[in-house]
Amino acid sequence: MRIDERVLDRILPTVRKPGRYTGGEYNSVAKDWDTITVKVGLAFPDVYDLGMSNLGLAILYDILNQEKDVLAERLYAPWPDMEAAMRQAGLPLYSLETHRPLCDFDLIGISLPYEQLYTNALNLLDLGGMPVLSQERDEGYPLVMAGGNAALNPEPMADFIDFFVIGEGEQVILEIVEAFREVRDAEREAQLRRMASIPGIYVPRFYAPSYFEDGTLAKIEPLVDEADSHVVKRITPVMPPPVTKFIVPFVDVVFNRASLEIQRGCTRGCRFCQAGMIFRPVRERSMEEIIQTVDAIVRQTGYEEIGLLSLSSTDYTKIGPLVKALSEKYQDRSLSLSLPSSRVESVTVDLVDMLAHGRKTGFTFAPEAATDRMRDVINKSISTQELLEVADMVYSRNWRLIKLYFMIGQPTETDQDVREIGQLARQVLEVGRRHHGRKAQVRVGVSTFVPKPHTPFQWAALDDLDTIRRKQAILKEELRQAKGIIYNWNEPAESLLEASLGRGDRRVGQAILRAWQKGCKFDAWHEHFRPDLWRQAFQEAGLDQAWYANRPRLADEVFPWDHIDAGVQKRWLLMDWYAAQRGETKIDCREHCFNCGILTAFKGLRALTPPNAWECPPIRNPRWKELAEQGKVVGLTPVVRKVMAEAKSQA
Amino acid sequence: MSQQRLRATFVKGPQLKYISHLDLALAWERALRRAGVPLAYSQGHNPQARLQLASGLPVGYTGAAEVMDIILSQPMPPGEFMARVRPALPEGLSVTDAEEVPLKGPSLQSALREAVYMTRVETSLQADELTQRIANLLAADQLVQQRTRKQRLENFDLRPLMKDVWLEAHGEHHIQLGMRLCAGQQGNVRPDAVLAALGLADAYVQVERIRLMFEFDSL
Repeated sequence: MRIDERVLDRILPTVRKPGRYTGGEYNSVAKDWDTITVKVGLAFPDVYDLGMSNLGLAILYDILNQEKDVLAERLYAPWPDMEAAMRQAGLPLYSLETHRPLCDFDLIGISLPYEQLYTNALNLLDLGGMPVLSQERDEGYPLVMAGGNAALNPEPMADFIDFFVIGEGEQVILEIVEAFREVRDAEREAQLRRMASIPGIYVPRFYAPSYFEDGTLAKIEPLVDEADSHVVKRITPVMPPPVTKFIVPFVDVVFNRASLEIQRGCTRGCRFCQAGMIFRPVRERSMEEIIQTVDAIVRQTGYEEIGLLSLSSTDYTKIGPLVKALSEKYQDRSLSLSLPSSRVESVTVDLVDMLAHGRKTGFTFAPEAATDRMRDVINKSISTQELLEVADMVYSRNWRLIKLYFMIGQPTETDQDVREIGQLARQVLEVGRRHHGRKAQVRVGVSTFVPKPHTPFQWAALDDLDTIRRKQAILKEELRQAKGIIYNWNEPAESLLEASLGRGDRRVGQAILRAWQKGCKFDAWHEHFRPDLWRQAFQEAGLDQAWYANRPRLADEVFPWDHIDAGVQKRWLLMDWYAAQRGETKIDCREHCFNCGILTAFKGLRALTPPNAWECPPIRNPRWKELAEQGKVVGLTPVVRKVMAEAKSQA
Repeated sequence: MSQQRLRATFVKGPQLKYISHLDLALAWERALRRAGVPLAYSQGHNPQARLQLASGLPVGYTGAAEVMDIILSQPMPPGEFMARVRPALPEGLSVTDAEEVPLKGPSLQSALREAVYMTRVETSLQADELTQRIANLLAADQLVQQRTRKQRLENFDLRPLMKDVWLEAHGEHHIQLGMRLCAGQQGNVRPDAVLAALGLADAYVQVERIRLMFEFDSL
């Protein structure tokens, strides 16, 4: 049943930005609810303005709505003023397309890109009229799935989510829909067993964790046949067709532009970077396809800006010719291009000139550390000299603002390393002054390093709160009276929460539940974040935030995400962690394969893709291609193992 | 290349009634880009599309005949303009008329004088009671009311801004009130002020602006 529009009409004039809650945007798809058999609600657990910029959900929305007998609609977290009004009026969380309550859908997909959205995810379920605990929802409720970067450690949210989609969703989403058709009328247990049999799907209730006396994890064991001991992430072997019919929001949103993924994954191997590890292998979209797509996007959306997305846009092989071709083609149509991430070593004069449209917002670099030694530790080996030369070039091409992103708290960091961040910022400003005098600006964003699962730094500790504050004070002192430098930093308590959730185990779910019950939500929003309530929530759950966040891990510790396989092997990550401490660097893996594990995990898939489709070296042994073509190898490690075992036993 | 000024009349339907004035202008700009209409842009560092809506419609109101001017960088016959734009519009937005007007000439904002509204109010007030209240309102010399402007409360006289108010229709639980009010830079008032003066401030109400009247229209 649709929600009561009259009630909504009463509420909307009283809330901020009511256009967030009405739907009907150009390119949104409202299908006939009564004739479609599988209905998927795609939910982003933050406000519309942020959720609309999420490319992952836009891709799934596009794929699902292209299916004749499937519909996908969007749901976002209402801002607190709207939530209060909805709760008071008894309005449930509803979808934007046809204004249906959350609990009327068959499947709900929640995007979990980062940990600060966990309480909002619970709040969404509750506002949608559903129990937040998975065990309390029977087959009368929709199946709740979640995916995204944070799902690579699903354990903290295991109590709330029915199943997790590990890795890329493009292919598996339709497998899930088909599986749902088979088990629509089955009991919840049978529904979930069917889901567990899909490669890349993790159903937490079919796995039991056990712990050692010291509180660390002993093992996580599968309980049913359908549950694989290792859930390997899904990937699309070649870049999937890009979205062109982006929904065009009426209200201003955070990234009010279309996004086009020009490349997926990154070959650089920065040791702190989760995306760089979990999005392997690196796949590029062809230049021809990008140019055609930009054209289609402009025609179908009318957007005036397109972001060319990649973890490291300037590493795209033909970035120069691409940007040149695009800026020539659109110079009179006021289309601006943005490259969200540029590497110091791959920026050229031509590129800087062609991105001139963005001059007003400044040129961004993320050296992450200020000393050559630290940059070797984190494996982001650019030299200070190089950075200053590039800064000189950028300022000389009429840009006045350079933004620099750094991280404090990375392993082996000394106070001197911190101090030099300030000195480097001053040096860059000096360069700018030569070109623009007092109008030159440097904006320095200093975040706190948070160790992430599936990275070489997953064994590292988060600095304790006092250390973070001391380092931030050093920087404040260092940048005092530096006119022309704007310094931003992260609230230490926010990093503590991110770290204690990010590497949490299943017990952390209790803390999340309690925090939400105490009123925590919008934890990613400074004005709503309540560290005091979180502290209490952890305490009441019998847990210590510091134990999760600030404790260095031993080499042989079992991690809560060890059974979730992102392709890169734990053994390889450990070797890289040791290399970091010795200050050893690894070059771009396009130059030399370091055998991180991706090719082992996806051998079959690699055998079936053309050599230039991935940056990883091709598989030369024809036997793999044969097996893959027979459909025996989908490229997923456990499956590979089974096939190999079968082959052996037959021999 | 010769520029051209087109004046378009459009409907802002109920689907869009919560979209603000600025957001509506951007929605139009994007729709025109989708339609391949050659929009002219302002010169300078941050080029803006030369598109002008006559008057912001308060959030929550619908508009049956809103007006805007668009400067094109190359001429296009109004008929072709309408044909191109129609398929590029979101639901709730439709263009009903377009005509060419002189490139130079007063802006819509400066030429706007009055607006006609139709309101549907849920109330169980009797017709004769309402007619009486309207008559009292129109008979008054002065109607001092309060409104907030720039976050400050100020007094203003509603009476001279109110050209006409009439009872259009009367049902068991609702009434339809028509009103013609001053609009534009020389004096502007919203229908809620009139509703408040009639003692209908808390009623559930739907408002549609049905006409904009300009200096160059015969008032």
